[in-house]
Amino acid sequence: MHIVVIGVNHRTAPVELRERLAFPEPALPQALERFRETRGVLEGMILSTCNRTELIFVADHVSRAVEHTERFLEAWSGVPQAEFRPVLYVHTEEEAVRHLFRVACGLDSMIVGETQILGQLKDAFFLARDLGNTGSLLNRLLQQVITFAKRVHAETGINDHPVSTSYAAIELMKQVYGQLKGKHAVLIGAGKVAQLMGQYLQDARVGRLTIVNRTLEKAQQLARSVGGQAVPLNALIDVLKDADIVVSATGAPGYVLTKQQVEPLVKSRSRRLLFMDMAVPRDLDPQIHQLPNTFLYDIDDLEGFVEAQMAERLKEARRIEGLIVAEVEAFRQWMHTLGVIPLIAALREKGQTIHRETMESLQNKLPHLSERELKIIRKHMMSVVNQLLRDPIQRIKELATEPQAEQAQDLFATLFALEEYLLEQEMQRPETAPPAAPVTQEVRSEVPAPLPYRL
Amino acid sequence: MGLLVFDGMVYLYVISLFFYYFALIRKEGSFRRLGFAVLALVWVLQTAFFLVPTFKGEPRTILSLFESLLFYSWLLVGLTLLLQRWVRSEVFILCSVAIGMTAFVLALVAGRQDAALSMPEGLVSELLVIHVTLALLSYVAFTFAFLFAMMYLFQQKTLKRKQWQFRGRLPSLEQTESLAYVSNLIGVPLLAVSLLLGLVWAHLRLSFNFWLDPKIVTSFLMLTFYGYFLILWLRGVRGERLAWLNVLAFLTVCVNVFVSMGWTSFHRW
Repeated sequence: MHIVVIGVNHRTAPVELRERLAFPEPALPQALERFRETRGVLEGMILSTCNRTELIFVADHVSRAVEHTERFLEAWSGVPQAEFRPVLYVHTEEEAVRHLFRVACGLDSMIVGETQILGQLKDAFFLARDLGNTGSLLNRLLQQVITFAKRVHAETGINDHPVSTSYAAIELMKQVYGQLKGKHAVLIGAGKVAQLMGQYLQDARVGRLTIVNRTLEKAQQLARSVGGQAVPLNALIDVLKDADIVVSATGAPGYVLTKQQVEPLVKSRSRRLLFMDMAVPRDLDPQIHQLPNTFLYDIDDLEGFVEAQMAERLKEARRIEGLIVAEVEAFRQWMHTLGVIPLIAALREKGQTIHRETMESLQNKLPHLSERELKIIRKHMMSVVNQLLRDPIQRIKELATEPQAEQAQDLFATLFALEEYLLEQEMQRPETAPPAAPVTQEVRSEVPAPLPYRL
Repeated sequence: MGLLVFDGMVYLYVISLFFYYFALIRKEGSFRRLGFAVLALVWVLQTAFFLVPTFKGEPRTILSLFESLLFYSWLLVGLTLLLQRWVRSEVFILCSVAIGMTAFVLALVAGRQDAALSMPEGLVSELLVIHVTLALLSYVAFTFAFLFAMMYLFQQKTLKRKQWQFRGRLPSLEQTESLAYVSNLIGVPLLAVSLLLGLVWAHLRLSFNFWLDPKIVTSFLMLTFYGYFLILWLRGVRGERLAWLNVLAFLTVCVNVFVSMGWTSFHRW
């Protein structure tokens, strides 16, 4: 069985193509049902976001399954293969596993470290699982991926750092004031930037929001949308007397506030005052920053802040890449142990069969043995069987993680003549994914208990 | 055996500092948890030092330099462990643990000279024990206030200079300022009551004029500085001025501690 990821993302394909290949959310259940019927696909799920569309599946034969999956994608989206094949990436085995870890941690996202993708991946997995599209392999893999990504987000600082100037402004406000609840924010201007900042301030649950604008009507309109109050520009100085935060984003050619205007204000109060100048050209006199208990940040400062934060994110991302290597290795080892489970089960079955047959023979030859004597003999014979089998079982488990695992497993089966028992197991196993016909009965699979398997 | 345990505690302190330092640099939760575990172990061992004699019927009096410094270290570490739940700054924890460790090491050094400085039996009383305990509690509160004030000044500097490269997690300016205020709010009444009890004890037990003793003078100086801080706060004063006052006030605490080691007439340490 092989793990495969094929797809397109914001790096490989333009948005015009991505949107045609995307799977709309309401259509996903139907898409998953058709994907399940694709030849060669044993387990599968679909991840479709604004920046990527990926088909994650388990295949018995990689190239055949990829070919059929591309046909499925063509049939579903209506985009010819010749159009999307040049931008389609195909990851298999460990590379596919590594890719999934990177995607879940936000390392493959447009904004490195963003956390939204993890929620999207979880939703895609749970939907596929609930529809019976996944089995033990994808269940195990996605469980490990999601757990790891959650841990990474919680323990590293990768998503702590804002990556836009607006978020940077809010972050700086929090560095000065902590929570913005109860603070009085004054917004000078009513244009697009002012609207955006008004929204962010409202989301940050600022206590009071006052919009100041030359045109009172526009200020009132903005105030209504963000739950604030509006005042005309000539009331600005009065409003600043009890302000904590001042955000300026007007289109004025000169300074809206100078140091001379702000200085008496600052001297008459002891509280901190934070200015954010989001305008170009600047609205606020830079010398305001030199006043005591006063801070002023303009667009250049905010961009510098964002750059520093991005550098931190990238450092964290590099560290997480290192952690992913260990996770991929852990999954690889788990996959290799899958092969030994039937062998160990077959060997134990054979041991128990030999034990049972020997006991029957003994009872025939020595019918006068008491129940107690039989019990003792049975127990000791089982102990002999277990002790004989213990070392081979331990060795085959150890060999499962070695490069020659498959050959070792074949030799193991030959040495102990387990073919008959393995065949019996195969015949007793319920049917897995159908080649073409839809599944007639629902296959409900719970996410399995953590391995190792118990014998 | 006792010395081995104490030496072991010093190593544990260093190990916890090491873990917290790496938590600051690497931002990994596992280092922080390890630091917490090791520090908690130190605190448990220090607690045992105080509790075991109590169960044996010979409780510690905290009247020797050794026991006082150890008590101060124990309080500092215990409250730091508790405060970590709310103040999640590795910088604060590192500095607090470093101060606690310094006090602990000084206690070990002082412990070896303790025999020469033992308190005469006639002067020991419960009043004195309470006086010393309250004084040490106030020192711990003022230590926290000092740490918060330093964090405030550092954070203020980085924000004023627009330096974005600092890796450590610091509370906001407003938070550190509030925490400093709360620490002083707790410390001032503790110190005041401690001074009052000390004066009552001195009046009852001492036959000479103790009012000009350097220890008492510097204690009143401390109370004045911290009292002035609270008055400014009530008047609505905030910012750098208040933080510097806090730092200056803590210097009087240090002076007060060192004065008692050499220049006091009756404070034996």
